[in-house]
Amino acid sequence: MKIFKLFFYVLMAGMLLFLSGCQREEGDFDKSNHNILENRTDNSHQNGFLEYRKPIAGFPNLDCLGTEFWDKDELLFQMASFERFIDKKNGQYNCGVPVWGATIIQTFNNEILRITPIVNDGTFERKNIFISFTYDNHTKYILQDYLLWENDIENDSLDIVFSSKPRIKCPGFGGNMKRGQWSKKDDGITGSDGWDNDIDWGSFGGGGSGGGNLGGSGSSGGGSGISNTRLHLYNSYFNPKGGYANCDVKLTTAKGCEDFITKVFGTTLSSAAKANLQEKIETCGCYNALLVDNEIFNKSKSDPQLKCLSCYAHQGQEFGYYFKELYSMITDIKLPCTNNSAEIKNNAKNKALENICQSASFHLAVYPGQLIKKYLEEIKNLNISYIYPVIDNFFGIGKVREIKGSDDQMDMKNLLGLSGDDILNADEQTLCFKKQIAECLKPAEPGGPIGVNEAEKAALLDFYKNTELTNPCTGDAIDKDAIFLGLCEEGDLSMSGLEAALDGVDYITSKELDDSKEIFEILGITNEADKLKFLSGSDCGSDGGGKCKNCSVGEAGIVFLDHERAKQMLDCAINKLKNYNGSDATIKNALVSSFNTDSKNAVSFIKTLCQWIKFQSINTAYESDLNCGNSTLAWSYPAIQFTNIHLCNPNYWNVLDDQERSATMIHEMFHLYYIAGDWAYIWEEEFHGLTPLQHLTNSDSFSEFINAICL
Amino acid sequence: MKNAIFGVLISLYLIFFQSCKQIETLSSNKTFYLSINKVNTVDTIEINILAGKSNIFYSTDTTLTFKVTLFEVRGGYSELHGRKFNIHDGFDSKRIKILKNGIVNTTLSYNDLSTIIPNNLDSLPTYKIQLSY
Repeated sequence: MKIFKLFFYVLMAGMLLFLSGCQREEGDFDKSNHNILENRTDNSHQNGFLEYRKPIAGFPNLDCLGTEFWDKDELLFQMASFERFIDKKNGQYNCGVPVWGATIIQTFNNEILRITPIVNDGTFERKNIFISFTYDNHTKYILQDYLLWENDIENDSLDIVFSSKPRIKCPGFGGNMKRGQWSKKDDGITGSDGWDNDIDWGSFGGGGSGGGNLGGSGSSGGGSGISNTRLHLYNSYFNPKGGYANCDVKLTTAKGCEDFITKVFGTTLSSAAKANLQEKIETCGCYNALLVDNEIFNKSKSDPQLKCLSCYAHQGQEFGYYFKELYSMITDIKLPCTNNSAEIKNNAKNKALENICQSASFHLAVYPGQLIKKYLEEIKNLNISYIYPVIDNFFGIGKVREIKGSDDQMDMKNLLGLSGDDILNADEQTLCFKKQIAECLKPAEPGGPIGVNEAEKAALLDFYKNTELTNPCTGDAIDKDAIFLGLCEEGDLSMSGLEAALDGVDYITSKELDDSKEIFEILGITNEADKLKFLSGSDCGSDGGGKCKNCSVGEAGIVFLDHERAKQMLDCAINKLKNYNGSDATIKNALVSSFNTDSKNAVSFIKTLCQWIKFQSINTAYESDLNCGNSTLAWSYPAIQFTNIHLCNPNYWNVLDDQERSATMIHEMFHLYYIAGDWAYIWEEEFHGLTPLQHLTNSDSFSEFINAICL
Repeated sequence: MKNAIFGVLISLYLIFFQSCKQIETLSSNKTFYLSINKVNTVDTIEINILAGKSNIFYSTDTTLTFKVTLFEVRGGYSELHGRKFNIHDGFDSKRIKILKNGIVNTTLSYNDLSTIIPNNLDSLPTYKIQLSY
């Protein structure tokens, strides 16, 4: 290990010697060929490095980030050191660049720039500096975030050692390029404000003549550039009294900070913001003010809690960054039944953030990473007024989909059984309705006055929470909210009121669907639309069956009416059996007479079979048959469902009355669509001796039963 | 191969069941006047309905004439390859029973009654029934 370190020191020393005189000229290397690195034997490997560097920066116009190496071996060694942090899947190569010290994220002309200043003690001479990955969590988290690393950064530990000796100049660079230096391609244009908008900043570490130093004169020699001023931001690492520390002043005054903000963030501060900035700098420093960007800064200026979020020492910087991110990620504010102006929403958003931060105990966290994790965990359990943010993929933590709301929103959730996603996915109008319904059906407070219809309210609430209504023909959900709002407006909070409201509405309840799962399985009904039709018995816009082949127009008309009547009789029987609770004497007697039982299971089975026959009847077709026997009325092929029912001409039309013809159709349908045979007809003595099981497979038992209760 | 087997099975199934019919019938509605040959004047004669809707009236005079109306009843049978089985026929089923002194003496169907040659002595076709004992 010692030998390794010694070797490393030697390399670093050589590297610094090299870098102290490093110069570069833009565009003097082939950017398109990464393999060039392998082919170089001289210092051009540095340019090779720069090519490697570019992909990770993500700034297509950025040529140099100020890290150069003595030779290819050193570069490869460094690369190997950081290899495990490189996400090759995304084609990103770290090359060791961002491992130094603190990192600042800035925007410039809508381009995100990441600047990685050199760790420097403020003197031109570099010191051996040990930067522990364990210690420097800030950088690691940023790297992880930026490079999409999957490593367990918190538990990784890697000491990086840098030599103190300056390096030699890079050929052709025209000045000393230090670690931490970076430049952007010069377009040769200087902005009207005197800034070189290419922001070809020369040096962070000082000494270099990059030209166009931010905030400085652009003269060579470093010193007045704002780069050192920025170093002040990391004054836990830098000596502010270093050779270039005069720039400290700039960011510790409102003017300097404003200039910095204007340049770096590309924004102009309002007068209010400027005033606030002054206060912010005095209490928190410019850097903190910057991290919580201008937008938040302005909006939160009247909120002491919010304002101080960025003022925490140490973690404050990182927190500000995450705070800003969190702010931007809260995209969906739900404020039901209010005038949702932008101002109200922003206030709600700020209020929400304040509540989040107040409750998150973030100041207890030691390291930023732990802080953020803890913070996010706590977010999930917060009560936040008037807000349901949608936060996707928050720093890899996953989706924070549900944040609890204010009392009225909690009523919506708890009383109406809504999930967080229900609320997040609902529009505000819908939420407003739900809020009104929740208020309307809310039980009386314990100890408070008890309403006269608490039990009815509870039943309605239970129905609302647990019963979905579906249109059997379209499959669409029926808007329960409209029905319940109507009940609330009329003050008719009772189940009978609900029944009245649903009268005439064709619907299937979720309970019916659930209860019929086994039946669907047995009958082989898998199509959702068929399930709904089965339960509802609705024709849903189809012709409903009843066509007659070979019939005259008059005969066909009679058959159609008979068929419709048969379906109505089936519907009638289904409905009566649905509501049968054993007390209706007519039904009870008919059950006993036709099936020799009135057991609950038998009733359920008979009802299901009636539903099945009704379901099939919408496809039933008939056929006039002139070749029947003298006394024959009708016939069918048993259980061959696609065949027609034959109606014997003329007997069917001539000798039966309306009701008898429809009953005959039902009798034949039970032959055709079910395994029912003819054990006995009702007028036969044997009929009354049939067992219930025989009755349940006897066609005449069904047709006579239906005839008896739905005549 | 699977499809072919399936096709053959389906065809066999269809051939079988296509030849099987479930047939509904309806018996006719008819009134019979029955004159019971009463051997012993002390005997009591009754006619009761055995199956199907019927009306029975009788005279109390010495002629002992019953007016029996057999209403139509639905029936049916299964037919396979032209052969009838599981027959529930309103014509052939016994519809009434005649009781002598409370004991069933005979049962009659629509067809049974129709096969008796009626007398027209009283302008009404009267079916004279000779009890078996």
